[in-house]
Amino acid sequence: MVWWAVSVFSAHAVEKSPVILPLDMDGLKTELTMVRGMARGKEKSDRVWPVKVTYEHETYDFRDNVFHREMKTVEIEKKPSRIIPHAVGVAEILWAICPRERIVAFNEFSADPEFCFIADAVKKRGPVFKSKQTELVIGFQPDLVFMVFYSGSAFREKLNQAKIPYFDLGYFGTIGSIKKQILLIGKIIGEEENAEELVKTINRSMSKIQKMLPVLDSPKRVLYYDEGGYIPGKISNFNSICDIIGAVNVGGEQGVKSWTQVDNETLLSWNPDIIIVPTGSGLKDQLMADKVLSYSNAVKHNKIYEIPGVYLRVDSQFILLSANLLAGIVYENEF
Amino acid sequence: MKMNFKFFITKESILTGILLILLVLGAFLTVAYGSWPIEKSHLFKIILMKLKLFTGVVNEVEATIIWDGRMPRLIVGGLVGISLATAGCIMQGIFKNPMASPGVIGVSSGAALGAVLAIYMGLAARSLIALPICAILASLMTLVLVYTIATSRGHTSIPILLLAGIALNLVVGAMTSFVITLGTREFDVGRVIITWLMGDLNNRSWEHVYIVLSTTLLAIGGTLFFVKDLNILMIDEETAANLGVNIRFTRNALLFFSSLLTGGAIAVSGVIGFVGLIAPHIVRGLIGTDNRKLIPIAGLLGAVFIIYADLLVRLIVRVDLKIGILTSLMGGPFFLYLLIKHRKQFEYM
Repeated sequence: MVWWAVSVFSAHAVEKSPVILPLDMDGLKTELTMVRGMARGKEKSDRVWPVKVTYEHETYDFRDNVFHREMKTVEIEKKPSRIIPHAVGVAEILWAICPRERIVAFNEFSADPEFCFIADAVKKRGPVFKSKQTELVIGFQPDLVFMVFYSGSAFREKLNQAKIPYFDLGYFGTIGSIKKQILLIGKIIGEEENAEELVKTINRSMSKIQKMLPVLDSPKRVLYYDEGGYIPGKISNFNSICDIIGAVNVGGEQGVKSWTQVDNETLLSWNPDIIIVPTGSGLKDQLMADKVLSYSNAVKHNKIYEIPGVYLRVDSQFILLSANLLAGIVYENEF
Repeated sequence: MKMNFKFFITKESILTGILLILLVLGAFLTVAYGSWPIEKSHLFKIILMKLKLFTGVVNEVEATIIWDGRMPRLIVGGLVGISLATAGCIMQGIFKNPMASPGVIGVSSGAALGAVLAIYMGLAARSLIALPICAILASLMTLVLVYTIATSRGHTSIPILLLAGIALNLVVGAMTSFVITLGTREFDVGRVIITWLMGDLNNRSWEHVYIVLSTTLLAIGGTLFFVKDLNILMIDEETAANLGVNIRFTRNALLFFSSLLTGGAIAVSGVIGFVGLIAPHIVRGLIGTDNRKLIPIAGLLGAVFIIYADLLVRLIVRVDLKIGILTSLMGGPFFLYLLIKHRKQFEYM
């Protein structure tokens, strides 16, 4: 149990208030970042390239709210040594499991602390390209580009034309899918041991957090309220974070699948115990000042908390940091 | 003694009566239904209590939901409809063109750019009135710009005004797109901008009512002051000048009021299309071109249109359909139907 001074309990980001967290945040972040070092020495040297990797490719169709799964096999000719991740989550995973000299460039969001937990390190390490700078990506002459579902077909086509190998990772989001992707990335880049170690670290940390959670008569109902009144549902990383800490994501509970917009009257009828808003959005003041919401439990008991956006957008092993932080907020003074 | 009621039975009075009935029904449905169930008997008690006509006990939560949640949404919707329809009447009258609407001289695009900038720069998150003020100011600035371009040696050319409006629409539209592109980098901001551009009456408050009420009252009051001159202007400028109408002043004033109406409406509701084009058309087809009757009745139709569109979005469709999309989906085909059916009739202006 540790005290951690963050701005999450404050309407104004400049104020710092102590939050009791289940695990030390810096220690947890280090554990989730330095897996590569922990597995060093255990690496198999007898791997023969090319390797064939069979995997389940998962995509999420947000129009029908269904997952499509398909078994695929890919052949990797040689151990990739010039890797480019086209998404923040992949960059964070690679940073943990892959020797850093093999990562040749990062996209701009990986260098932005609003989006990425390793932004400072990425900025120092560089180089950084903008998401649409396909020419720059080609110019780095990578031997593997990791793409995700939002990378875009134009980007894929450009890579095809330049004969640059790429790998489409598909859906990221829940803790389960993140663990699956970590293992897959490990196989693709020949760092299976590090990947397995990272998954073990995730499981260990998750178990540590869960063991520290208090036993309640009924779970806390938490709602994430984003700008424009958007609420995440069942298929969102927020839902996964809530699952880890034994809380109920009110959006998911009320039947929201992906994201939907709700009015304040609906919000009152859902009556969450706690509302989470992104830091700097001004939403806390707006919600606190709303007359309709003044009757909701969260407003009545001043349970609207600001969390930096990076904790809410996370799609990597650092989802554990979000779970650790949310546990501190949800189970305030109950550890 | 035998009363002669024929005086009251005119096309205008029948249309006004029908629209008023629809308005009252729409208002009742808007206030009565929502995600929080409220008994109808409570509804009337709450409204009467808020109007100081009842002193009994009401449920506080229900009273707040109705008075601070549903009522502002209803009134904002109604005022937006009135504003957009009136602005359409003015534009169609000044330009003597049934295709004219507040959008043609770039006023709507200007308001949209102002609002999008307010969201992107974070002003909208800090203050409730920042977005409306930015939208109104930007719409007026666009009007001044387009008017300056079209005015030479004291004479404002209508064709140049229209062409300058088209060009400014493109430029301002491109600037809005650029801000959207910047906004999408911050996913949340991009989503708010796009939602707003599709028209949104969600979570309107009394502050929004005061903003749009002030622009609507000021602009409609001013428009009604010039309404006779607008009728004369629609004949031709020479006749208007012979009849003592100060053409330049009248036109400037009416354009200002039209921009104020459009800016005020867009400021509180986002971009809601087709109302300014369709409401004047339908009413003109039924009662004629006299703006003294056309403006109030078209305004009423605009209000009814928006209130029912919002009801449809909120209570029936219940998916993430935005009111601006719905008005365009309903208004566009209807407008095409009218055009095809009354091709000849629309050549009257």
